[in-house]
Formats: sequence, C-alpha cells, structure tokens
Amino acid sequence: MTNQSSSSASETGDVPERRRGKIILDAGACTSCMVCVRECPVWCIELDANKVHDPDAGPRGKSRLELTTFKIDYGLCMDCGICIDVCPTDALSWDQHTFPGQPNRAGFTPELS
Amino acid sequence: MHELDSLTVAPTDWVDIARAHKTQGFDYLDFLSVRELDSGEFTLTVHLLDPTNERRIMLEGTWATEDGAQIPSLSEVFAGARWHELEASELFGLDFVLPNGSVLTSGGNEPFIASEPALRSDYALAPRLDNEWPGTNEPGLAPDHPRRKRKRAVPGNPATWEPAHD
Ligand code: SF4
Ligand code: SF4
Repeated sequence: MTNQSSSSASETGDVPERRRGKIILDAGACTSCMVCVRECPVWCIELDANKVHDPDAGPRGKSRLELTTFKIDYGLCMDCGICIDVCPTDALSWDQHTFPGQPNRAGFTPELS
Repeated sequence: MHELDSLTVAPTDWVDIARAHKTQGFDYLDFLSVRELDSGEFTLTVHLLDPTNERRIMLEGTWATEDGAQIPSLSEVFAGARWHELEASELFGLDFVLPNGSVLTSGGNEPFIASEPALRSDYALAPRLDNEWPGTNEPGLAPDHPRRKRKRAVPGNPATWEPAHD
C-alpha cells in the first residue's frame, strides 16, 4: 500500500534499499559549513573544525577548515533526513543499517569525522 | 496508487463527509493528524485509503478552539480514529466529542500520552531552553572573533519562550 520499501526488501536480502538506518559522513567532502547542524530540528549534530593552511595553495597560502569533531547523537536523531537534504556537498547519506544498541547513553554519539 | 486528492471539509460536515467516503470505498483510515496554524486555528487531516481501487484522499477541516469549539469524533465511522484523536486531544489540548455527547478522554485517571499539550507552539520545549544550540558554533574562528559576538536567532524557538541563555 503506502509502504514502498516492502517490494525492495527482496532485492537486497536483509534490509530494504531505501531504509533509513543511520547517517554516514564523508568527512573529505564536508566543508564544516554548519548548515546541517543549524537545520537539525532536534539539535543532535555537533561539529567543530580547525582552520588549517593549505600548503599547496600557492605563495599567499589559503586556509581551509579541517573537521575535528562531527558527532550525531543517534539517541536523539529522529531519522528525518533534513541534514542529508540540506548538505550542499552531499557529504551526508543514509546507511541502510541502523546504529546498534549501546550499553550506555554516551555510546549513541559516535565520532564520525 | 493514484494521485493524492485533498478535500476541505466544513466543520459541520466532518463526520458526514468521512462516512460518505467510507461508503464509497475509502474504508481504511491511514492516519489522523493535527496542524496548528499561525492564526491559532487547528487543521485536522485524515488520510483515507481505498485499498481495492488503490485510491486515497486527504480530508481537511479547520477549527478555531479559542471559541470553545469542539471537534466531532470520527470514531463512530472509523473505530481506529479514537486512538489518533486521543493523541491529538492530549498533545494539542483539543476536545473531541463522542456521539453520546461526552468528551474523549483516556478513560483512566491519568492521561494516556501526555499530561500537557506539548505539541502546541506556546508550549516551551525544555531541552531547547536548557541546552545551548549547537548552531552557535563558528568553526575556525578565533574565540574573540567579532563574528562570534553576532547573535544568531535560534530557529524554531518562538520569541514567547523564555530564553535560557543571553
Ligand atoms: S536525520 Fe534529522 S534528526 Fe537526525 S541528525 Fe539529521 S536532521 Fe538531525
Ligand atoms: S551540511 Fe554537509 S558540508 Fe555542511 S557541515 Fe554538514 S555535512 Fe559538512
């Protein structure tokens, strides 16, 4: 009926193809722009970055941001997908597999950077 | 599944229109949901499915609750509406009137879902007041950089909520 994922379950075996499991970060693509952090309705993304000089950027140098922290609190995340939709560099995407259960609260906030 | 049609229903016709659709084959209540409008009114949305003919429709009705208006329950047409209406009543502080004239409650002494209308916009969400918004961070800027002093409005926190930080 309205469940579109049921048909694709058989194609991938275990999990439906479009399942919202957990969010994964391509740290190399992330520019630390903070858009996802600011759009997340439940405030569950934490990001920090250092300014570093890029030695390959010519004599005048050029700086870029290098991620030091990127954490999603999967205990709060409600799988809305807004962060993935707003990311200008497509650094975020869905993984079909959910974040595994944890023995304590802190375990739900892994470092992704 | 066909395109989604939506039908605006006058409050007085709410139950009758739902019943008419059920008779026409829309006999599966998918969900009933509520939206608070800027005007202070509440729009109820009911999504009905006709599984046999793969049709669906959205019925929408709007009520102004400050006039003491009460919303007729759809439970005489769709028994399953009761659960959604109980959610709507407790989370939005709305009154649903059952066919016998009484107002829908959880039936027990305690509310079933929420003791306060936590989904109303004037209900301040404690975690948004007790915690600092992670979006205030300005990565890469020195701690004394002037841009750090710029105050960003926290999105989604109405001005009527008491600020926890200044
Ligand atoms: S999916 Fe939604 S709740 Fe989860 S981190 Fe992204 S924006 Fe936040
Ligand atoms: S929106 Fe994308 S690029 Fe910007 S901080 Fe988030 S993950 Fe990185």
